[in-house]
Amino acid sequence: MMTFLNRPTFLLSACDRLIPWSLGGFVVLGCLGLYMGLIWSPADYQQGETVRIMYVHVPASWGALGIYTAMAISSVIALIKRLPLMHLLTAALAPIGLCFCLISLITGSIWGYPTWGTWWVWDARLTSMLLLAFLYGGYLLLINNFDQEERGLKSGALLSIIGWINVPIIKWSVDWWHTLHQPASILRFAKPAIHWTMIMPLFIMAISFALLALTIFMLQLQNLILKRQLISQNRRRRPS
Amino acid sequence: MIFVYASYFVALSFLLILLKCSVRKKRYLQKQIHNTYDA
Repeated sequence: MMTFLNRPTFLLSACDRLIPWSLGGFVVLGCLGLYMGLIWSPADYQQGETVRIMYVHVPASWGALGIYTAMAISSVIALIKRLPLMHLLTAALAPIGLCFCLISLITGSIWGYPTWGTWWVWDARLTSMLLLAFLYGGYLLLINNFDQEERGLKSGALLSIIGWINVPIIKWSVDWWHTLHQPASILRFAKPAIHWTMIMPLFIMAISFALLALTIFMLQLQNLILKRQLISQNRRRRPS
Repeated sequence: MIFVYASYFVALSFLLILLKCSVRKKRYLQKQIHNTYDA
């Protein structure tokens, strides 16, 4: 089933074919999402216009959590099945996850000031999200600072698996502790607590963010494969 | 509205910078591989 993961040339050409489609989808849905988020959707009766920050903050947070989960899954597969390309998949996901995590923290901070009266508070949701950013940063530092690349990738895989424990903590921190951050209003067992005119732009922005993440992921994966090809070419030219 | 625009600016600029860096790195690597083949 996973034989294609051992064929870098196939992955390179498949990414080349898919990138224009995912990028095009991002442009179309991104423009629609921006229009709906900034103009079409109504302002909130309590928060006013600042509620529109939700359309970038929430998709970025979902992206940060989803990408870390994908990293943990691919790390497990890489370690059990001994597929080197799965390590590259994990490494390609990390910068995108870090970017989403930083967007979530910064936009959350910008949203917090007019709503809570403070840019930052050390409550469970915000602190666990900051920890996720450190986990992403730690993973990237680990994989890039070993003499032997394989050892770095394996250490990073272990960190991403162990660090995944933070993902459910982030999700349910608002229920387990008293936090300034509001509880879940969309991804929960009961009916969503917000009106469909706000859910629509939110999901469109989430899909457009996912398409952009997919585009960047494919580019990052190609870069990692090309880097390996370049290193092996140089070794063949200059045998030690 | 200034807070809203600031958030959208942060989000889009971060993502587009990462996209641009990835594209530039890919071009650089492809060029390097091409040069190695020629040499």
